[in-house]
Amino acid sequence: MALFLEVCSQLAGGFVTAFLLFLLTLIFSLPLGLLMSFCTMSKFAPLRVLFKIIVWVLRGTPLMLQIFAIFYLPGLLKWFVWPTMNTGWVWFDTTFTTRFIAALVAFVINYAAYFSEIFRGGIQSISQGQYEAGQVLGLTRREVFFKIVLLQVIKRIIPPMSNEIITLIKDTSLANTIGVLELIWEAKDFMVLDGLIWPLFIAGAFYLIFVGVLTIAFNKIEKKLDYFKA
Amino acid sequence: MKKLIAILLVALMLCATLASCGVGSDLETVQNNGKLVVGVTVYPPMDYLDENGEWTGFDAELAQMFAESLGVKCQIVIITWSNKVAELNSNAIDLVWNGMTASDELGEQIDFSVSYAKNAQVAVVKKGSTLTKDDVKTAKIAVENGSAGASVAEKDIKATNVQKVTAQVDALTEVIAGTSDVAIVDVTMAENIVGKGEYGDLQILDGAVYGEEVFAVGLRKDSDLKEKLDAFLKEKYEDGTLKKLAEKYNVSLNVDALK
Repeated sequence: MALFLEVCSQLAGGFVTAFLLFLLTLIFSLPLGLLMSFCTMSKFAPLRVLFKIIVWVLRGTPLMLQIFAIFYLPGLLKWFVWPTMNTGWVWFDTTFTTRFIAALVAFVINYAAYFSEIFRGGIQSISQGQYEAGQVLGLTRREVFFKIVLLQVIKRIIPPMSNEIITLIKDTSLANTIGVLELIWEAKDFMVLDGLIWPLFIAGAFYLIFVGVLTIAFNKIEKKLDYFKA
Repeated sequence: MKKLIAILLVALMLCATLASCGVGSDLETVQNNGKLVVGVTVYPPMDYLDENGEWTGFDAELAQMFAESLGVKCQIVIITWSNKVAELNSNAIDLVWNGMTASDELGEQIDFSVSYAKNAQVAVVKKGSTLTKDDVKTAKIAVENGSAGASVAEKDIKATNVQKVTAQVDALTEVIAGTSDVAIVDVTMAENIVGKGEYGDLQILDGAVYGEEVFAVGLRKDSDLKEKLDAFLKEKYEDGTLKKLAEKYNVSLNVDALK
């Protein structure tokens, strides 16, 4: 029992890292994704093509490779070395290591690409008639988008978004390839140090419980937006 | 559009030159930063964390002594073993000090210090297995990709059925799970974990000892840390520190490589 608790407490430490990576990725990639979706729908062709290519590359190569490239390429090409956090606040410095920041950057741009396509789908699913109706009523295009279209878009993209967000928490394990000590890494640590395999399955339970919480939350959000019958 | 691309390219090149100006020699960088960054994996008894979360082990202790001799702090960071060359060449770390076998292939990418210990590979099987050393050649073998064990399996034994996995411990997991018959791993690693926890059902195969490799510390090509490091290791061999460390961490390493 004592061993079980020790395993759980070490795994909880790994989960905090995974959760922070998850949360910060969402905070930064959602707005970036919206911005990217505007770029891929832009009327200015060079911008549109550029961002279509960026989205293609980001969705077309493995995230593991992108993490590797973002952390190592700047140094390999002698551009710069990722700086080390040095605030003197131990928890902060040991949590947000150079490696964590590099992984976060990779996750944010990768997930922004996926989110941008979900946003694009949502925005383009709103019928042109609504824009025309808004214009007839004397609203500007901006007003039509923020006051009429956006809320409907949010309702429509909740299901695909929840799918992607659930994938994100499990993808955080890819960060251990550049030495971010997240949940799976902590579990594997028990294999190397103590010859224990079962902590890996306890780690699985951590993900499962968290995804359960997310699922319930998304169901609640969907219900809340129910008054918005299309 | 062409103008835009030209401006971007110029900016990019400017960044590149600016950054490369700032990179001094390894020794200068280490001394300026006041720390030596050492890349390791969790690999008892060479590098591991004690109950207080402090780095310890045969290699970790040596690395800390070396940093001290340079008058800087030793910062040990965990890396993925297969990324060690990228870690060094991207300046993410200064040294790889992790019971690393000095191989010719690896020597084309990075430099090695003088070797400080002789290493060997052993075959690990399930307890009560009827396999003998002669059967290893045709058995299902699990090895860590890019490890000394992998080159033993492929080049020395010329085994027919080799499964590569991402870590030495995963090779042992293959054996417990029955998905492979034999794992070929470092003797230090095997002695430390065989018999522990769920790896209790394993044993080192009698007489199956392979390889004549040596352990060395990895550096970037042409690093000026090499001279200091070599002198340090020779000194630690001559004053008996290596031998004492081997006893302290119960490492069955032959530390006479520097004789």
